[in-house]
Amino acid sequence: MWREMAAAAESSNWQAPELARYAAGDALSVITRSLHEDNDKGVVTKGRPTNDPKVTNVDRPEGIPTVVMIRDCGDDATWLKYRKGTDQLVDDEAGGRRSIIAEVKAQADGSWRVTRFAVQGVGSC
Amino acid sequence: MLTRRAVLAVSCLVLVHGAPASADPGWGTIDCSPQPHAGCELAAGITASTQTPGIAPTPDTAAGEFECRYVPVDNVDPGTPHPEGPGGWFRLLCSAEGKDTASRPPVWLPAGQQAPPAFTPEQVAQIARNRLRLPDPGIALSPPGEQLVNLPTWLWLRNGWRSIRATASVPGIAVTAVAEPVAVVWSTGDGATITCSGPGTPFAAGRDPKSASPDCGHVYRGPSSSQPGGVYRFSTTVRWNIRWSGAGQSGVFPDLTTTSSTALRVIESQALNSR
Repeated sequence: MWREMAAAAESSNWQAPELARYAAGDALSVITRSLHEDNDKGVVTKGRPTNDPKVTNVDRPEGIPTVVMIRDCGDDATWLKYRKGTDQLVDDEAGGRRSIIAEVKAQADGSWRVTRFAVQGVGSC
Repeated sequence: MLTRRAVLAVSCLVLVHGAPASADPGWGTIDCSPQPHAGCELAAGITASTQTPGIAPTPDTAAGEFECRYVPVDNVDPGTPHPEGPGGWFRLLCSAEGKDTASRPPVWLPAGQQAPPAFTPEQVAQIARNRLRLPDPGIALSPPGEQLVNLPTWLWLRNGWRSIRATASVPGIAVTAVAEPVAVVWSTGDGATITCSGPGTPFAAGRDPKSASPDCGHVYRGPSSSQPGGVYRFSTTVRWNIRWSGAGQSGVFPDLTTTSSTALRVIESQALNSR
């Protein structure tokens, strides 16, 4: 999901169809909203975040996995926002390591999508 | 085989509220710390916020209630004529955050005077109206995600269809403003505009996938492939009636609207077999 977001964020393309392949519900809503705001502000994001996801919990009602919780330590030190069409950073705020908790739910069509996530501040992991 | 999947909300973009300040790193705008969004409750110690972005409600103002008060102003324009006698310049402050000053210039209050200059109930009602936190329309469609040409699309609001109220008060006057949703306008991106007088009926599992919504639906007659980006621009606007009452008076304000939008792909179905 973050990879797709980073790809879409290079042009702040909030309508990128790939976003919905990995995210749904609140997660998709928050990502598209953020890209839309960046697009309105003439801001794009260059680079890529790094991630280190680990499964922390699996819900298996009746033996079938339905919800997986993931704890991640992401790093956006090399994933930064620029004024569109320039090499000018939006501001001096640095990225860094952030604790991320994500909920991934099985969809009725058999696919899995991130439905919610919480990204914490820089230095939280 | 066509499978109706669990209802999932499509992207919901707030167009009516202010955006937060730019943040440099990639996660800066969706970081939970400055502005919790739905999902941030996953992190321990953070409470889910269903409020719209903007001013974080404090316990005192969470219900939209607060009392305006006068606070001293230090730096009044030196050219302002100085009334005679002891007293001071004050500004009306109408929020806990100190940002909303009801757009009024400073006033001179003689020393010893407790009662501020008169406010009309309608002026207090305007303050109350400004405190209304209208929810974003939560778009829900069935089928979720991609739509199929000639298959009825169900349209409904996942959330955002309820009365919202906020109260403002100055000494002697308390006014409540109420926002009542009255209509949803669905702009489906293919040229159609559907106005529904209610939130729409959610598609329930077990229904015939080919059935149409009893009150709020649409049928796409062409795929979105010819559109820019291969998607229809889909938007949902809720219209709100705003009325107020208090201090023995009542009235109405012009309607307000909230809007969400998304991109929607509509494809042709080669064979449509229902279960």
